[in-house]
Amino acid sequence: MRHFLEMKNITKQFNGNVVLKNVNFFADKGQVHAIIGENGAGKTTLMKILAGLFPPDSGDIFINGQRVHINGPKHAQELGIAMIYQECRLFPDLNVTENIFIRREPLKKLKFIKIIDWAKAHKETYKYLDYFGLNINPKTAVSNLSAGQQKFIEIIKALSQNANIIIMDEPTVALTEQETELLFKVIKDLKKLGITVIYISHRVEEIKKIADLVSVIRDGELIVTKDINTTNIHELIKAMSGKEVYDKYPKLKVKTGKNILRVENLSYNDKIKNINFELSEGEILGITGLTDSGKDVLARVLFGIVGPFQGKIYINGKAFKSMDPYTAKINGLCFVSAIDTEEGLISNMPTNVNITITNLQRISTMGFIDNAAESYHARDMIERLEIGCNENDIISILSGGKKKKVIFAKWLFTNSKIFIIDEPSAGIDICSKVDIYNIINELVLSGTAIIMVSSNIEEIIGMCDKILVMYNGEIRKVLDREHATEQKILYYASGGKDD
Amino acid sequence: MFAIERLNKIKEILLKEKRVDVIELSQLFSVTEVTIRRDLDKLEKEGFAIKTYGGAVLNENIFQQSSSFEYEEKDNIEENKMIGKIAAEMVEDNEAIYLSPGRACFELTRHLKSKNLTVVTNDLAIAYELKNKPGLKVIVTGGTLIHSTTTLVGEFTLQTLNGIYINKAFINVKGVDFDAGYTLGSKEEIMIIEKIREISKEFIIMADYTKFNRTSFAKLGNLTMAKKIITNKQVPPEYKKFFFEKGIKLYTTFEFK
Repeated sequence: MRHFLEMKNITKQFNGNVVLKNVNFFADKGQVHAIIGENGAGKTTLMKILAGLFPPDSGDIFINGQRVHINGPKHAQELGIAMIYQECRLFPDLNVTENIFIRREPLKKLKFIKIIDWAKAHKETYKYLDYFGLNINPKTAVSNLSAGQQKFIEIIKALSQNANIIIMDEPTVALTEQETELLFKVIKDLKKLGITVIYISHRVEEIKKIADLVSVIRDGELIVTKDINTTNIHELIKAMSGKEVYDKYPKLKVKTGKNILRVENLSYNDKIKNINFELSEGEILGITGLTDSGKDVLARVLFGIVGPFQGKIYINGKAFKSMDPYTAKINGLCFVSAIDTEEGLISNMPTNVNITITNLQRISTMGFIDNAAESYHARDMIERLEIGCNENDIISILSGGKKKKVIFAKWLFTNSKIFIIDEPSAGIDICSKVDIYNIINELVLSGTAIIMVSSNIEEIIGMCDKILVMYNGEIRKVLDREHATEQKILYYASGGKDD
Repeated sequence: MFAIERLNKIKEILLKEKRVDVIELSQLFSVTEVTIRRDLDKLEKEGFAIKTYGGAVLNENIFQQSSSFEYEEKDNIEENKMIGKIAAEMVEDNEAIYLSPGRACFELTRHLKSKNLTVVTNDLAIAYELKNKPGLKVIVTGGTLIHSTTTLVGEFTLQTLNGIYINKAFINVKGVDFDAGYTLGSKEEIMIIEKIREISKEFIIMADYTKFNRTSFAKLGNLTMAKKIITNKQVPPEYKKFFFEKGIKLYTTFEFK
């Protein structure tokens, strides 16, 4: 039996790295086919090939039994394929109707000239909105809509272009629970219209509610395609995480000291809910979860970057009902930011300034910055951390690994006692990684407490004493080092619960 | 309060708590952190304290009688001290450990804190160094002394190692090289370490960074033979990468003050 959509033996390489290996994928009309897999498994690449963003190196695509060579996004659109990306692709300053009909506005003749028939366009838009039961005014600017509403406008835009295959990449990221429910209702309506929906996600729980079929992609290979009714979450997680984890992380077991940080019923804007945990001197606490699980928000609430929060933070027994970075810093906290954000460093300033900026008192005499002291301390830190750069090097020219070390250096310079480390190893070379883990060891040996926020599950298991797995703003599970496995973490991070 | 009074007070705290914290002290005496740092500098010069990240610890060595042994191997003492410190952290209570001849193991003995340990060694200097440590059982293998060293080797050594089991063996090597693997100074020493490997649960290599890309006389084994290696931060990057990718834990030392 031929399927409505078939992708056969799709292979794709980027710079010599094989990202897709002989993938066979199919879908039928009126069907929701989910694709799941870890970050970087190849899910999105496979779908971008279907959407015409790049051609496969080899393999064939058939639609309705016809072999097609998709030579670009425009061609894919003509073939009835639409992709809805994670990030919004609408024009924020245009209104709903304008976005839906852009470049193909309905025209009417007025004597000798043709003008856009806005009345018709609005009417058409309203018809769609009404069909899906959406309470949105077609004349509203898109920038005034919520992330969820914007998704719906993109879906309507696809439908109005006669799409019969709609690909949704992680559509529920950034959506509220109500919007997610509404999206599922819309997807069910799409099925009734005979539309094929391909649904990329790593939230296994969600897929159970909406998909008919599910395919698991791991390391560029399609591992298995299953009927959703004949599989369960454990089987899917196992397929997702098949690879062996080597225990290559230089973990040092350190005797922990007294309690240094306690968090009680911490909530912020529905993004984190009712968080409770404790942290002792010399302990490494891991916080992990999927992209929008709330782990990043939690880290930023602790350091006072976002707020105000509900609940309490206790540092050394002292209660705080609000937090800001200055208060956090003078109470011994620091935030080692990820290098891909702009949070941690002043890119156009030299390394020495970046290192000493956290503790100007230490390099000042009589209120003036002592350049010799600045340079002395900066050189000292550069040597101690083996950063391998010159103190006058401008930050923006440094590699990822060096930048991360500079961020460490600047907080070491204040003698912080609680390090919140955001994505310790993301975007840095292996040598720097090994160095960072050993720097963490040295810190815990001196009684410093570490909170490691990471989406790298291996690293979390390798380095942490205790692991908080977050989902949807909540702590789903607390695992200790001995009992943590990649499968367990993936299970709870995807919304799984204890039976 | 005069500076001298403050210094004495800090000494008192150090004696009682074994460690002090710059921020806590500055709050306690209502002086700036810079002042406290200068105080700690003075105490370090006196030999009373050792500065650490964010503070200082009591220099316990001042209370121990100085060793009458001059350890023969004097290369890179600072680097090996740091290696010894990390290694000592790996030792847990109630374990039996083996310490091979070499500077890093010699330094390790000074940091041993764990309780109820059994230490097996074929190095007379290491055994002597441990003679005053409470709660330790030290077993010295017999054997033939290698001339002008404190290392015991030979048939007698091998015999004493029969029928005992070791939790963690700490091995100093003389050379670490991609082609030659781990190397030691003589075939006799290799025979002892091979025997140790048979009777040990965990096998931990120690080498300061100058030992990398260097080959000594006799081969112990390939670089993948041990699952843990302790060295310094200056180790060549290609080794850091190699060990991580091979799933071998590489511990390096950093020191913050």
